[in-house]
Amino acid sequence: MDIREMIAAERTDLAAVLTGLTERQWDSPTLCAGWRVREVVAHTTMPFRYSGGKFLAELARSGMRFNAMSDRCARRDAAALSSADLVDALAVNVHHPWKPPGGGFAGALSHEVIHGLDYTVALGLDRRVPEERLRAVLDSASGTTARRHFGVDLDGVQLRADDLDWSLGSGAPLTGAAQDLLLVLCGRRLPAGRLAGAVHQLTRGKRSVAG
Amino acid sequence: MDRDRFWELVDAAREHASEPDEIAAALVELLVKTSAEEIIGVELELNALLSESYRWDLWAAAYLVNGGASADGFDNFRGWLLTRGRAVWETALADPDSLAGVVSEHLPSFLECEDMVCVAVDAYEQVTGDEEGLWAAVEAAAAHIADEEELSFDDPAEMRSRLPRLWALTG
Repeated sequence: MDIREMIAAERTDLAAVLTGLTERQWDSPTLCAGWRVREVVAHTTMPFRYSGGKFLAELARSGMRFNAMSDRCARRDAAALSSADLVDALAVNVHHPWKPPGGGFAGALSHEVIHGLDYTVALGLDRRVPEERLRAVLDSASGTTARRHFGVDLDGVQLRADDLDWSLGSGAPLTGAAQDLLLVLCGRRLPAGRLAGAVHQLTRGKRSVAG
Repeated sequence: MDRDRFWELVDAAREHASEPDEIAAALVELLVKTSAEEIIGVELELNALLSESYRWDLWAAAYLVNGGASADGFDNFRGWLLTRGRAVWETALADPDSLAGVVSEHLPSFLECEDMVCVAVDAYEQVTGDEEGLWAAVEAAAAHIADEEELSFDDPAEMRSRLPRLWALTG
């Protein structure tokens, strides 16, 4: 499957997951600090809903800082759009050609997969990201730049997946599902009991990362 | 608050520290000793600098220097660039490639400073207890910027309504 097909497949799968959520689940917290499911979906669909001009205007209204804009727009749009509107924004855009600047289609796939996990894991849903997509995102997230960006220090720790043949780094093992380890790489704090081993040796960045 | 005063504050912070995060922290310390109004002035000047530097060529420089630069990564790269002081900032904006002479001594460091782009937000929160007043001022300062609507060039009704005289001539 090429990367565009993987992006479309992930969006299709996530739209199906979201269609089945109750309103209470839509209002539940996610692994993105301060965001419920509806803010996360408002955020991931923002590139489909905003023109270039609107994006720049919103950026200006947020002091020209992307994270501030992401947070402001996600909260406002989540309040304005219904759950059905948000699912629709994702479902009708599964083939949308958006790429994050500097990230290419690999960045678009990472955006969908990681933010999808932000709510499926937080809700305790038993959804596994298909291995081909997960490996593609793990490859991107394992790079030095991504790890520095998310502020995760893996010194002396080895991430070791217990559901597929994947590991990163060397040192005391931190084990768990590969998709949970991806979230560790992205600086997320996971619900208790999902990881085993060197959990307390990890240090993370001090600010939350929306993008 | 004006551009000169902004850079004076950055210079004063740089006298207290050398590492980017320390410079940002020193600047916050200086700002909390001023007033909420002064901090908003710093925020708006910072917004203007971030607006002027929101350029593809500088983003490309960040991409090369840091081995990649997402949207927030570019913001944080410019936070680092602000901590280098006015001369480096202005030279980089005049010619992003000039950064080669600045970053060579730091490589392979990762040149980002998120704290620097948040100095006024952090100081304002410390002084007033929340961020609301600052964000309201930022939004008000951008009130003249309208959402630019995208037009469908192939929609005759829309084109006729927006450009009636040209439509009459050419449509």
